[in-house]
Amino acid sequence: MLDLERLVPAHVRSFEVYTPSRPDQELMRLFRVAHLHRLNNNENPLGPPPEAARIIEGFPPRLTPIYPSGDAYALRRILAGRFSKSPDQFLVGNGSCEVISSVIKAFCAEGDNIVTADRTFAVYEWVAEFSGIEARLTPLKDFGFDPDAMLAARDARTKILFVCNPNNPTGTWWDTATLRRFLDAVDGRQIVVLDEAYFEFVDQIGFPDGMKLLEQYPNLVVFRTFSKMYALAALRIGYLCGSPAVVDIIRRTHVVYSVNSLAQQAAAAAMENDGPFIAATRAMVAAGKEKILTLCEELGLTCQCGEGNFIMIRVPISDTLLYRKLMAKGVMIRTMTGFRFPGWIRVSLAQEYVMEEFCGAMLGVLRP
Amino acid sequence: MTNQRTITLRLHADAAWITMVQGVAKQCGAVFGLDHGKALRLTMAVEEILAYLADLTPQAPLELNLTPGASHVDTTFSFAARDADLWAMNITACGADCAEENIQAMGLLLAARMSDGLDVRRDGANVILRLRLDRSYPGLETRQAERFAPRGEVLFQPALDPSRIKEACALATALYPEAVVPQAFRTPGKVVDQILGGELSGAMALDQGGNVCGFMTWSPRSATSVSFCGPYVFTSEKTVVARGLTEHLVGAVARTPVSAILSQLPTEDLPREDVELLGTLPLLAADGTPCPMPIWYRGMREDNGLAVWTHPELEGFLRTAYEQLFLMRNIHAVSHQGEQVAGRSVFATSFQPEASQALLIPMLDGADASDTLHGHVQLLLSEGYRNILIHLDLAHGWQAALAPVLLKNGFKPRVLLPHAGQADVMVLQHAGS
Repeated sequence: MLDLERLVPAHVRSFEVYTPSRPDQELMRLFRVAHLHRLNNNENPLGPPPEAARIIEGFPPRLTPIYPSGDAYALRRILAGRFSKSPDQFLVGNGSCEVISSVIKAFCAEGDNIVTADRTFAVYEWVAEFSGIEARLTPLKDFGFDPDAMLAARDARTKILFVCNPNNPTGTWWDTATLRRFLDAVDGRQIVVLDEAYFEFVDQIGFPDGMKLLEQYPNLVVFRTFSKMYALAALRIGYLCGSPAVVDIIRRTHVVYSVNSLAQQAAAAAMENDGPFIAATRAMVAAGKEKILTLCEELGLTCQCGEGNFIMIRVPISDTLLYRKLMAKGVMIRTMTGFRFPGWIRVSLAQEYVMEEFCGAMLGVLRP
Repeated sequence: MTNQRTITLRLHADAAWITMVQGVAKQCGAVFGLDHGKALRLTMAVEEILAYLADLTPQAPLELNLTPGASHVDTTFSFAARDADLWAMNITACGADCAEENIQAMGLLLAARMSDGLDVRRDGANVILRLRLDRSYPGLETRQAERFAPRGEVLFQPALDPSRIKEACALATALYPEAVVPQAFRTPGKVVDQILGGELSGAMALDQGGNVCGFMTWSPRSATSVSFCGPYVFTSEKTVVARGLTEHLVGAVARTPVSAILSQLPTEDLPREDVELLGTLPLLAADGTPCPMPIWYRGMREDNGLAVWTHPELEGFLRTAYEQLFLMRNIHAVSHQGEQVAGRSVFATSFQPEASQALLIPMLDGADASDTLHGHVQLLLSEGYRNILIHLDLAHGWQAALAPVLLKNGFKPRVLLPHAGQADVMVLQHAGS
């Protein structure tokens, strides 16, 4: 007889299964709407960049029987050229979730712990916990990562510190001086992961570029993704960059052949001439922020507006109820209860007509 | 999963083992902290149940587990039973005019009276009879209290300090109407044991002087829902403390399997903006005073629909409720269409005598469902129960199909509880109760 109680480790048994949202068609049927604006996953509706779009449209079926490059050989060379690094400093994964998993597996054993914030991208915490590794969570301070609290949370078994910069969902960020102070205080005793998933959206003086700090801090590992700015979320591709010695260790726990050929080619193409695409996206995000700030002022709502293509709003009803009411109007946002921000929503910033529809839906629900 | 301190006996349903089982129950009762009187009641109750099972399913393999809870001892009997045998689980199986063929059910009734709780649940072919004996705790001494101004900032934390938990129980009992304070608060030691034993969770508000400014408790209701009591606020300015306690609760169950937070005994201080009113049950206190009970809901995640069953006679109520709550459901109609229904029906009953409330849960459909339900209602009314409720889990088509039987017997749909069972649960109330 199958004895799951004996077979399944306690940390897996107690872990909550993450249930992704249903496909759009199914949601539209359920909520009886003819269209659905996806403002829940911080996707870039302008994308992908035209160079990547051409690769996707022209991908030859004759290539599908052939395995992809197992270690994204060509893409790593392109990344190395772009960032003036060695290809061996890069690892490409099936989305940044995969590289999170690889880093934790590489450095953590039973009894070890990681440190991150309590209200940030949840996957650091999830991967640690379902791997049997303790996730130590420090409270945000003024919506931002608290470097002192993170340093204080460490002990001899702390292996990795995860910093999301800018932070999802609050948009707060550490400037270069803060990040340097933090790295100096860590002094190589732990691996510091700097998740820069929203790096390309930021245009602020003083915002640090993790890639430029790698030489000075060999314990630093930088994450980037093609899912956000480059709008390749459906292809699942992200990467990490670190010192050769650290990446050599992570490579041992990293699954090869996990990134498909189309994703590798599209990612490479996306970076070819990304300047105009990034500028257009930033303009769309800036306009979206203006619109939402005006809406919040009109409705008397508090909002948390930082960097990234999203904004958080404190709403006067339960966030989960607001989700249902907005869904019935064809607008999908992210509730923040699961991010430990009950009563808040996060809205991805999209084209003007979409933001207008969002604002109209909010007014319809909150000021009927 | 069994507790490490669980004592397990595997035996057969045979009256010859009664003395042995009595001995084990007596010893366990004492070791697990029951006083002499309670241990004796446990001994007698297990005797009754074993005799009952020996008669019901002679020589059937049986597992007996005695487990210490935080504030009680659980005794479970697990056995395989045919549907036909389950009929004896009805509390009406042996009423005042107990027929000879039903005399076996008397044991169950006696065991229920000797215990602090008896419930029956079914897991496939397995039936689990659970008997609960609570430890004895000294009652709370009556005291007067007044709301006060907090000293400095109020902070919120898990309720873990026994002294402060007891203080909070005393303050809640002194400052709030009896109807919204759990019975357990009147025996604060029990609340401490329940919280420290992990059966109950609590949030505490403390000011900079260490004064207890507020309290709130919650416990699992189903695999994906919790129910709460409170918030109880002891400061003169209530809003901040009530909001902080409620947010602490929401934060504590976020990123857990909990999909829904439902009120059990809500106070008037519950921040209304963050919860949804599901409806109000027109309950009566034990003395007959109207005691309407609002039921509040807080969804914990993005609700993207469920499939539920309904009988056409309840479809209108259901559609209106879902529309008002903006909950999207695939509603499937179900009804009896001449198919044969095997065996006799079974309704499990759980009692809350202090609230004059009895809750019926369908366990098994049967051709005699209407008569069985009628019998239950008559028995409960004759016992003085003023509030008779029934829960239908809409994940199960056969439960939804019972609607005509319920309506015929005077039950009216009152409230829909999202995610309170395997799917949503419809609460019906007996109109004459």
